[in-house]
Amino acid sequence: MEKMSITRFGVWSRLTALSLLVAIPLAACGDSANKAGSADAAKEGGGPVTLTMLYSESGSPFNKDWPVYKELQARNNVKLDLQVVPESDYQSKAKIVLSSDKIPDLVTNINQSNVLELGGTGVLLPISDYMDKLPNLKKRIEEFKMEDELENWKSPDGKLYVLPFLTQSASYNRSPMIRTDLLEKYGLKAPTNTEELYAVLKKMKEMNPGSYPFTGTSADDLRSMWGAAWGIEPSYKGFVFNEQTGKYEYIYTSENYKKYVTYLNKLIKDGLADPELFTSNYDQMHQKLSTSKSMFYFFWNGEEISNINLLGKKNTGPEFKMAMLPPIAGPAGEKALAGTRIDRGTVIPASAANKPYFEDLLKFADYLYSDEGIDLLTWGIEGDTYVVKEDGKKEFTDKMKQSENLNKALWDIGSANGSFTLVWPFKWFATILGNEDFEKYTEEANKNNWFTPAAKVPKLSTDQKDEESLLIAGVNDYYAKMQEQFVYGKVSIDQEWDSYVKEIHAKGVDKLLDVYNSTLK
Amino acid sequence: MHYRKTLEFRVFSTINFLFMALVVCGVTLPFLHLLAVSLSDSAANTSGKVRFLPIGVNMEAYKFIFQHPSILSGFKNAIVQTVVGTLISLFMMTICAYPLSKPIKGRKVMIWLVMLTMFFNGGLVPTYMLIKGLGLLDTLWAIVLPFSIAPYFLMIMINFFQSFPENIEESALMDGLNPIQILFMIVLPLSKTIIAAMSLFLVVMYWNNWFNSLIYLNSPDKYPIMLIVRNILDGANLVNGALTGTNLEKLSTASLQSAAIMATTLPIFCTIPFVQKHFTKGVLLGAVKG
Repeated sequence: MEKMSITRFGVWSRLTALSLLVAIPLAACGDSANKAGSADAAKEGGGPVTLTMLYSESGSPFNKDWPVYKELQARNNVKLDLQVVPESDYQSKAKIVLSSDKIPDLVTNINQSNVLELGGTGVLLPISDYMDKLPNLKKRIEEFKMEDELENWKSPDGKLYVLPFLTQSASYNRSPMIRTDLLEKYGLKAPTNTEELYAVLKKMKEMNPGSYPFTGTSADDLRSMWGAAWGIEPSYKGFVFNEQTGKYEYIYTSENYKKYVTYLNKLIKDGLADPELFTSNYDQMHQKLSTSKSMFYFFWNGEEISNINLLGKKNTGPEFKMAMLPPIAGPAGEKALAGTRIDRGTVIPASAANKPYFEDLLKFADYLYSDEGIDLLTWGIEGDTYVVKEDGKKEFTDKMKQSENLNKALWDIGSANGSFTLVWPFKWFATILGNEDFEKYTEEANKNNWFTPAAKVPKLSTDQKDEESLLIAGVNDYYAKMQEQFVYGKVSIDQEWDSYVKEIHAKGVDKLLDVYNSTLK
Repeated sequence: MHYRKTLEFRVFSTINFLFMALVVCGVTLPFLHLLAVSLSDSAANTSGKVRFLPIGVNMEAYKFIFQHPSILSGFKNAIVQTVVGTLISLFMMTICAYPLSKPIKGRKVMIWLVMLTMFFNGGLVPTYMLIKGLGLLDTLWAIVLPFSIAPYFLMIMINFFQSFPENIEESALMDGLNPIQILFMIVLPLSKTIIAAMSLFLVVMYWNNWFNSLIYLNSPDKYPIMLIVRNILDGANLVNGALTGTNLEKLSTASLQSAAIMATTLPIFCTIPFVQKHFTKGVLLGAVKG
């Protein structure tokens, strides 16, 4: 009895498993065969070429009926076949797609480390080999003087594997911001250097005993926005290239960095900086600022100014006024970090070079850098969303100006798109932002040399990259832990500094320096 | 029933009641708070004054979420994924667990192989290429087929079936039923507890899963609600401007997040009453008692 049942179970379970195994691939085959057929038909018909693309959905939800999107396809005689991926998880998906065997013709929004990682592997098309077919890109790089920055995007073989997103000009988009109404009320001058800032914060604390005048969200954000004035930014993961010695140095053990943590520690000790200076989230920070529990912070200033003023007027009173300041000068002088002008790029798989439509693909990519393409992707459609005035200046039409928000209105027609718009002209950008301070300070920044040039990125081979990733996490963890303890006063800077320097060198800084310096030979 | 009147009993039941009330509060109050936040205006939210009653009541956050063009298809896709996925999973796990609960040849090896997948798998990229190779990419099947057997749940089911009284199956066999018939006509109807428990786990699993959809689907009109809401929320802070052009006086990150939580958890709430009566009998309790 027992035996019989066993064998019957065996047969049945095997049978079911078999039938399922057969069913799945059958269904799948039918599907893929259909798809392949339709794609071929589109190519043969002499009509538009179909280009596939991995698209990062940001701004407004993607809509294939956007007038700019349709115009873009019509002008180039291409048909775009997009894989739309939400921006929130775009990088993880892009990484998987790029590691698979079938990559779309265009993969947008790839960040620097991924470009450099994939650059030498033969997966990506060396764009620099095809510069003669990309005349507009070439022109744009020369016009914006991007060569130096572009150098950081090249692989050790000296080739460029990416179509860079180009921001025309560095802009003063991250800055200190302060409650100017309180400055006026207490008869204070806007602070311009660290001593003045200390005095201003002290006065604010005196007048508002329960407050912590200086707030923020994270240690890294603060350092990236203020570090330039202290001479500790910009850096490549904490390493900077010293022009004089011709070698890399670790910046977070420097005298300037010590001064930086000592200053912050003093603010914390005297109750002038928020005990949550490194840990608030955006909502908490806005809560503190809008209810006058804090009055000073460093932040990305774009739309932030109008938002925080709106919240502040409601929660504190109609006198509330937050405004941006010129850089607070530190040991390195009056400096601000320039947002890098190239922060991501579009890549093309190497396999695309064998496709029959390769020429069209390059032509399409180049169009995105052309005057006509830039106008379409930033200003929209002439006559409808913008007009060119007699002096050649462009202006948005009333329809756009009257929209609740210009930026959103542009997104809704497919312009100012996070995947297609590869060139971001400054004048246009300032028009969208509509903040006079922003334009004024950016011009001043360019005039007075506030901006620091981008850090030199070492050109690492695959092996060196592996070695780096083994070491860097330990170094960064220790650095972050010690920074917090120094600033919050849990560890005395005077007593522990030397052992910190020794320890972090032993944790991997020494070896990393060897790796980075070996790339210079 | 005289013990009801004793002092001890009264003390016990009072404490019991208070404790249960505390538990209920612990579960419901966070939801009430979220509901209040989702309905409050941004000044009230950023000032941190909102507790359990909304201040400056408005529906902007819900409007913002439900205005998204993919929201309806998102709900539809999530429901389809959940229903189809749960049914396939239940079927696959039953026909897998039942034979494995019998002393068949190679049983240990097979269980061991299943267990192995709990700790080791091929990794994301190979799995992606496998699914691509099978032609499942960008179809519902990529979500519901490859992951239909959850090893941990399968173990629970095997244990349950093992403790199923053998006599019943034997008598059914004597009455001329074949093993398939025994499984579907005798064993399953007597295993509602485990089926209900598994259904609930699976429904929640499929409903909450956005990652597989992100990786294996390409068309936004196939995305489930979780992925869409995740994207809305990710962009929904004042820093990167997805709230651009909205009514910032009424809408804030906090209210938007709360509204999203309300909108996406309510449907899953609604499934609980259906399986709850089976649940009261206990999940693994039934497995032990048979």
